Amino acid sequence: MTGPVLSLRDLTIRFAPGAEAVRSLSLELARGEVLSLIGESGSGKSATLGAIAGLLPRGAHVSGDLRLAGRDGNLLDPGADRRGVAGREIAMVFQNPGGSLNPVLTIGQHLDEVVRAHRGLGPRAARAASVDLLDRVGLPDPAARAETYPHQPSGGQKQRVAIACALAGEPSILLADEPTTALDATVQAQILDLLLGLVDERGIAMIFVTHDLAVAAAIGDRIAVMRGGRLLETGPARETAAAPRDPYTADLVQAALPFTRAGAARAQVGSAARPKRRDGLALRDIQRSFATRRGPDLIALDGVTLTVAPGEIVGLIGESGSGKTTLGRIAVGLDAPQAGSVLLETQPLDAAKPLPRAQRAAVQMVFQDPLASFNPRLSIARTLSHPLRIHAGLRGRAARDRTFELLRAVGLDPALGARKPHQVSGGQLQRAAIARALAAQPRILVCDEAVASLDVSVRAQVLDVLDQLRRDEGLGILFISHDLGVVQRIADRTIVLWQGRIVEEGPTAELLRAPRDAYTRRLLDAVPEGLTPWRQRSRAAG
Amino acid sequence: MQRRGHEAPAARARRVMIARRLRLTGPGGGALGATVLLCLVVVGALAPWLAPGDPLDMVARPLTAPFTDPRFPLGTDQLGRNVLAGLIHGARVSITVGGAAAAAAIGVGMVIGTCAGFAGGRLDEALMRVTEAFQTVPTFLLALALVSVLGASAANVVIAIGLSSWPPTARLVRAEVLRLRGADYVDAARVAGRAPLAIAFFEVLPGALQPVVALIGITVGEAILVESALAFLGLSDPNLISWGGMVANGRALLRSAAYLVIFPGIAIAIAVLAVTLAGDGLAARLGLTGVR
Repeated sequence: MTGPVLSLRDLTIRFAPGAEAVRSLSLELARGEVLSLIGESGSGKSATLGAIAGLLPRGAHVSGDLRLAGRDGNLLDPGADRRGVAGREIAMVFQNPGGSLNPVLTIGQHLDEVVRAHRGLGPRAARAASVDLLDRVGLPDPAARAETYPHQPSGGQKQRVAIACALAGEPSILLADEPTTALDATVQAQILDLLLGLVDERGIAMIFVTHDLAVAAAIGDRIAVMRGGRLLETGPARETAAAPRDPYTADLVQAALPFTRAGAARAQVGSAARPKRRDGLALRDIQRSFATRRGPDLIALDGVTLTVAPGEIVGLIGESGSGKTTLGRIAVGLDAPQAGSVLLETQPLDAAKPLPRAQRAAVQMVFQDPLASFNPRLSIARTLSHPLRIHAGLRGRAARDRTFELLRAVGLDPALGARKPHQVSGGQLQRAAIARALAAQPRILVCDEAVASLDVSVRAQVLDVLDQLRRDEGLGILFISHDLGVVQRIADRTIVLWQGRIVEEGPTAELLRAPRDAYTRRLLDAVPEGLTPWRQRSRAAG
Repeated sequence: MQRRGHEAPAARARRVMIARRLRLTGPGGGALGATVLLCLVVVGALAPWLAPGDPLDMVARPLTAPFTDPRFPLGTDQLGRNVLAGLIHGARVSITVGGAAAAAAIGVGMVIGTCAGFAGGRLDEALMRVTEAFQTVPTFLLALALVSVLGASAANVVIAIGLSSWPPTARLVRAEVLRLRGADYVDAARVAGRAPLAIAFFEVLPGALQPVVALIGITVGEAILVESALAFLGLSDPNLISWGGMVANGRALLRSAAYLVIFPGIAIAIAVLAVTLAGDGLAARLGLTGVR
């Protein structure tokens, strides 16, 4: 192997005087190598990619030394000649594939443009090259696909198109910024396969930015860990994940909750012995469909039956569009089924009619994005005061005391209650959201992707709070998630939803160890297992 | 949280601040408008002290030319009434009637827009058809018809202008409420058991108010114009002096004493311009350019 294709020394990025987003970061990338860059939000990983690609906003102050193989000079010099770098030597793939494609151009036009700019081909030859690129990224029927617009294909196919665009200039370095974060597990698996295939076949070097340690370990030859703008540790993927040297990386590994088939969930110890009570929440034969503008109705839920007993955590897994969110909304009464019944302690609830408040209070919800689920203009304590007044009849001093108590119960400093939602961190706010749900004194809690928008280190704290509530208060929890690793840690029982139907249901450990349904198996196969490299798995599988 | 941006918050805040400052002081419109508006309000408020006595009283020889008698710098009309005193007292009427009418219009628009947007379904359909019915009739014609039915008094003028100029606010608020209705925090408030009306007016409406600010300037400006026009046609309180009424009074002498039309005309133009500029400036300060 000849020297590195990319070498970066002492990269420092400042967006404002005195506030360094990245501090003297150095890294090297060899030909055909995949470097996973991992860190939590705000760690500077996206800014680092931006500096390499030359995509930082004008106000950013960048210093350091960036050199590419076969090119003279420091690309970070203010007067550096960057022509031909973007697209031809360095290409980028973004998190949101739809956002990086122009809605008024067809997919073919996108590619033609890049191909013509980089290879100087005529219109017809360019289109042939475009179709060839689409074929290479595994898009079915590429010639017809080239005529469609970016909103038409699915998220995974859009990401394939974006990758095709990135490849059009035959780059030697690919920068991927969370390219699979917005995708379902099975689609993520396909994209990882595609990227690794390209790396192996064409000797492209890749920097893969992610916040997901399991994905980082799966795809990377090496892992680089960032925190607060600094590079903490770099090392071979396997060793770094197995035996991290830096304490922060160790915490990250500890908190990552990767999915492992064999590993029994911690939460399940002792829960199997709990007597099964029948007075929880029951959904029976739920049927829900949505009218579409044209064509047949979209069936979101098709005869779903499930129960959540007090003190039990039921995991509900499925990909986007499987109906899991609709099911959660029906459980709390935000949506009404067309057929079927919702029973609470064997009493039927009618979601379509206003309920007695005592019943409505019994099923509460924690939403995915804590920032979106709080009114931005009200303080946290103010938002908490509503359910306290409505459901518990508490006002004034009594309400304030109870608010403090609730905030303490979820591990928050009561003083945080005076703040507005944007003044606390995501993890703190999500715990406040749990406190709000508890204010109504519920018996059942529905958590819809409640930890999905949180950083891994915070995730564990929120899961601990939930687990403790179930143990101490006998709260029944319906835990909706797409993340198998999280469900594995917390759920006693797991239900797999696919296209509006329950395809499999059983104790979590059993279900994950020996799935019976074909779809469940497909889902489990798609998830990076433990912290092992993806390539080994591919080889073993193929 | 997975909220990524290439720009640090501090840098963005600074840029926004600079942009705002440029927008406000570059063309200078907002600050200028606000200053002029403030002067008009002060003049109106201090009218009894600035120009004591009834401005409708005859105080000097009729048709004293402006800039000739230092006691009547803007001259007198055909009945010997002080024009400057008329303008000063007229500011009071124009601004209170214009402001009250605009407040009524925006209030009605907010309630109707919020109900329509939040309730959806049939109520939304019904309210929007009513809104459109009001919009198909020109504002001024509607106000004219209402005042001729209700009778010419200051309160009726306010009601007439309020009832004829709420539709734009209603439509804007409805659109904002529709956008916010699906927000997670609205669902969260439902789960927390808040009553639908409380959610609509205390959770959703405050979030929908910002763009309404952009409409305030236009609505007030238009209300002042409509009030002047009604007064011009003699459809305002005959016991109150108003700029529109002064223009009407002077139009018969347009050829011999044009200043009787010009001075109140300028006053109307300045007031409307000031209100509009101030409204735009406020909207720009809130980062709302392009809302309209």
